[in-house]
Amino acid sequence: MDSEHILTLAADYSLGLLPSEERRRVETHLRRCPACRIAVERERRVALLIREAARVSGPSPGRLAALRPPLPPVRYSPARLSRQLAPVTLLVVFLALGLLFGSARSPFAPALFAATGAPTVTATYTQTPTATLAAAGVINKAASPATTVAAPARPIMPSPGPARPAATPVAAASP
Amino acid sequence: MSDQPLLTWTEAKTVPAEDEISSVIGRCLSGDQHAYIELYELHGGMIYRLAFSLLQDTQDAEEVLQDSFEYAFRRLAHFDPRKSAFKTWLYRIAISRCRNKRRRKWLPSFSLTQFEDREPRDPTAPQPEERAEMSEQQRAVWQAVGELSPKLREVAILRYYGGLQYGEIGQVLDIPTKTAESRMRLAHKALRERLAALIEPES
Repeated sequence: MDSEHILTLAADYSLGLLPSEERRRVETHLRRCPACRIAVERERRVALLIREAARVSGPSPGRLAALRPPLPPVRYSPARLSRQLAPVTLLVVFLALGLLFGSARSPFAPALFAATGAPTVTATYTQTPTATLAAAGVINKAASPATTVAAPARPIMPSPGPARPAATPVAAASP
Repeated sequence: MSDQPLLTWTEAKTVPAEDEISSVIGRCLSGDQHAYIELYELHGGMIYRLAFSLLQDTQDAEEVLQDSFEYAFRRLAHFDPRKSAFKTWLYRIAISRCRNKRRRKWLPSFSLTQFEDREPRDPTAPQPEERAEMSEQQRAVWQAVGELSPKLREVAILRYYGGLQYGEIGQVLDIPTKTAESRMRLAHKALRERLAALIEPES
C-alpha cells in the first residue's frame, strides 16, 4: 500500500467511511508511516475546528435557562392521584377504625353495633290477623299490632330504599 | 462502516446514556415537571449549537431552541425509543425548524427594503455584533460552513458536531445512509479546501 493510496483514503478514514477490512489495513500502514499519519491528522482537524466553533457559540447557562419554554400542564392520572392521596386515605381509614372500635366501648358514643340480647323494635306488616298470630304464640295480643319483639337481635342498619313488607311472620323472642 | 467508533467526536461527558434519558422521559410522562427541566438542561445547549451552526444567527437559533422543545414536550408521549435515540428524534425536530426558518428568510418580500440599493441579507452570515466577538478562526470556520449548500451543511454539522453515525444522519434528514455518506465526502472536501490555512498538522 503506497503513500498515495493512503493519502486518497485519509479523508474517508477520518470520516469513518471505510469498510472494516480496509480500515484495518490503513491502521496497520499508519503505524509505520508518519507522513500518512500527518495526512490523517490534517483531515481530522476540519472536524475539530468546526466542533470548537460550535462549542463556543453556545449560550450562557443563565440565558439557556431563560429560553426554556413553558412546561406542559400537570395531568392528574388515576395512578398519580391515588399515590398522592394514599397518606390521606390511610389517615381516614385509621380514624374510621378508631371510631368503630371506640364506639363499642364508650357508653356515650352512638351505638353502631347493638349488643346481643338487647331488644330491638322492628315494624312489620302482615296480612295475617293479629288474633291468629296471638293464637300461634307469635305475638303478644295485648301489644300494639305495630310492635313486635324480634329475635334474634339484629343491628339497626340504615335502609337502602323504601321499607318492604315482610313476607313471613316474625318469630317471638324470649326476653 | 457506520459502526466505526467516533474518535472524540463529541464531549462524551455531556452526552447522557440512553437509559438515563429513558428514566427522565418516564418521569416526564408521569407528570414530574422537574423531569422536563432536566430533559431541557441535558439537551438544550446541544440543540442551540446545532441551530446556530446551521443558521448562524443568535435570534434564529434561540427561536429554534424554544420551538423545538415546546414541540418535544408536547409530543413526548409519541417518542418511540425503539425507532430512534432521543437525541436523534430531537435533532429531527430541530432540523425541521431550521429549515422553516431558512425558507421564510428567502421568501419574496414586498417591503420597501427591496428598493434600497443594498444586497439582501445572507442568512448564513453572522450578525455584525456577533462577528466582532468572534475570533478570526471562528469567523473563517463559520464563513466556510456558510458557503456550503444547506444539504451539505446539515450533514456536516450533524456529523462533526452532533457526532451521529451515518445511519442516524439518514434518519434525521430522511435520506438513505449512502446519500448521507456521499454528502459528507463532498462537504468535507469543500471545508478542507476553504480551511486549508487553518489546518496544520499537530506535532
